[in-house]
Amino acid sequence: MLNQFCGQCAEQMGRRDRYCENCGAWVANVLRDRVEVDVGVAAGVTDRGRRHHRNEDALALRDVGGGLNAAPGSTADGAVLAIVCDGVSSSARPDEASETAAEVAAEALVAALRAEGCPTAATREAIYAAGSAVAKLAGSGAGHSDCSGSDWTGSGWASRGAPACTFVSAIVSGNAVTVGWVGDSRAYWIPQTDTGSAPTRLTSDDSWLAQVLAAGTLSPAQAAADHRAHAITAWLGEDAGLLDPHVVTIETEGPGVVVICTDGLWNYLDTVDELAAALPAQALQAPLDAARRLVEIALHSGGHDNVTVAVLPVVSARQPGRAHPEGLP
Amino acid sequence: MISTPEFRGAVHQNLYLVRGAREVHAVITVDTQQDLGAKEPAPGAAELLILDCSGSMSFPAEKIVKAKEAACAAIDELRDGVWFALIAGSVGARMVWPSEPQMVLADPWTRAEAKDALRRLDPAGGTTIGAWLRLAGQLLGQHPEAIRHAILLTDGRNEHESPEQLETALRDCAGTFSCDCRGVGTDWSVDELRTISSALSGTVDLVVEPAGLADDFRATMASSMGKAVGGVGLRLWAPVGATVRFVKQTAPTLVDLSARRVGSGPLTGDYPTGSWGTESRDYHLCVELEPGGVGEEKLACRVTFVHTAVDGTAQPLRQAFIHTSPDGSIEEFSNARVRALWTDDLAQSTVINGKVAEVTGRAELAKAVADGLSAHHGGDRDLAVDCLSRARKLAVQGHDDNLLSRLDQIYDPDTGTFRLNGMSAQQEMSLDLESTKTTLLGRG
Repeated sequence: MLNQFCGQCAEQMGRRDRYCENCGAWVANVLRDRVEVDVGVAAGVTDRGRRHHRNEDALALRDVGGGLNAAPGSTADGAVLAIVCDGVSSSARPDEASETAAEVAAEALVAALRAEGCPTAATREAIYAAGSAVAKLAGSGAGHSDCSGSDWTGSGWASRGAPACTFVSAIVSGNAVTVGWVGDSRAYWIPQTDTGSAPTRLTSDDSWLAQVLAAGTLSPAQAAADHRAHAITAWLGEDAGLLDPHVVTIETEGPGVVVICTDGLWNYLDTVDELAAALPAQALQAPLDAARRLVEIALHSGGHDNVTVAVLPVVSARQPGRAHPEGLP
Repeated sequence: MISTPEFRGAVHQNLYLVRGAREVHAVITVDTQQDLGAKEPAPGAAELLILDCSGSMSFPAEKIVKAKEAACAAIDELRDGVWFALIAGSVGARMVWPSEPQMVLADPWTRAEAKDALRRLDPAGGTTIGAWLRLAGQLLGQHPEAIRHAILLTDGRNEHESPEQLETALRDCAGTFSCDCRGVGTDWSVDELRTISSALSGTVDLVVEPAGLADDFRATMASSMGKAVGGVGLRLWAPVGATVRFVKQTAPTLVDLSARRVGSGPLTGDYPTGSWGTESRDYHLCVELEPGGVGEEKLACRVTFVHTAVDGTAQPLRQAFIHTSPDGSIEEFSNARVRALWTDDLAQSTVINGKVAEVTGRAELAKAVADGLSAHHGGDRDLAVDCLSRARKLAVQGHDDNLLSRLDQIYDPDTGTFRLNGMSAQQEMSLDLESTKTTLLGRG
């Protein structure tokens, strides 16, 4: 699943528990400090950042390949998918929440895509599956991570919320891009500059700030200065209430890349134009280098939060004559 | 019918270490439970009685008479189908029953014949315990599949062979059988028998009155027959760069296992713990680690219990260990995990786990008694009184009533001091023996 080598001593990890068989380092901690996943047709990087004691973000990528059920609107050409989750740091075991959500959703997406081939329905199912898996963590008692944080205090975890995280996924199949999200992790469509199309943010944050701005009750400057600006209004977790995932599908024109990321990146590149400008020109051909570059920018800008970025190139134009039934704008 | 017991344990530790700290302490408490519903056949057992037949056993004559009675009582406890033999020790060792150097299966006839042979025994000669153990090892070695056990009864010191001869015998026998040692009278050495019993994963005790021997032998034999698995090792993994400072059994008796480590992998070692029936034992481990950074967590060690088969291969036993997190939540794993997490928060790192404190206090208590007795023998009365006063205080604090009653036999409450000159040999020996026993209280 993740890196097979201990980040502390570089020895191969065992699988008996979450500690390195050689040096005893806590595996989950060490491995997640920085993980790079490269599935060839897409890549992602997650990094602990410079200030946090552990990485509570999680990342999953899958190349679903071709040969799927060739129904209309299906992913018959094969698909690549990525998921990025950001553990809510005021919750208990946010690292387990994000890892669980990303892995469960990845497996659910692969299974749903193989069975039905409809990315919109698959995304909804995957978000529900991830949400229920994270909710179940609340009843499962403490994992190791429960006592690993240096922010643990005597009265600590008991007063914290149930394990929780944000969610954003992207499925690229042919020239169709499906994104689903809950919380403030984002997805962007960045077309290649010579196509003439404009870069677009595909998600809207489930955050206090976004709600206030939409309602127009405060000026953007006033709202941004409020201590609640970063508070999210939707998440995956036992105390999340009724889950209402957002799912959007677009049909792209010409090549480009989909970028999904946590706020560890967009805190430094807030607008879509800033992000597009920061993206290397070779992102389409070298998604791993592009993801590394974006993470590096966040780290150089302070790395105040965990930072996770996945880059998914869209290269093929969809065959003419095939309509896409759902979620088109 | 008894089946292989399940080992159920709990890990007691404070996982927080202050920045730069290296030593991790943990107590692992272990209880074995047998599934009485299981109908697995009991493993074979081989029982050996080693009776001191040196000349001194005739003075007073009651000693050998009671020793023979005790041996008879032990023989009567033997289940049908258990391998057994009796040997007599003086200078060298000889077969009492059977006459050939081999073991026989217990049945009503062999038990009767063995008791007859026992009655004809006449004490003469000296004491060479190493030689006795070598013959024991040779006989028990014929039944490697069985749970092998010996009872050694002596009234004297190992005077007729060199300490090296005894040491060599212990090294050769260690891990092949367990041996419970009993001293009768007051002319034997507590240290010597304790060395033997702990090297051979057994117990040591003083039988004050020869009349009490039969009951003790019967109980010891019954306990041994209740063992369900032999050749059990405590397997300890510690990370690269770590040093295992010690591995001590702290209950029911204090036994330092540290020197008995046998390597079983690049980072693992096995410490023999002998045979187990339904019982409880505690282990205190201390591991020194390369310190991690603040907020970093490392595993200090993993502990499992393994059974070593005749062919030398080790298999993990059925086992589960409870781990309690600082928030009170509980997790169970198939191994015992001792963790270390470095912090700058003194409120976290300075808390001593209650069980670790208890075990450390018990070790201090044993040392205070040992130092006190040693100072007494060295003629340093003041130091002896100091040490024993400290021991008494610790015994009061630790609610160690058994040891306290031994100390109070020589304690003068009016002057607050100890009557060392009025201390009998028996009082001293029972104090010494009691100091390394631990009463298991409040096991939960």
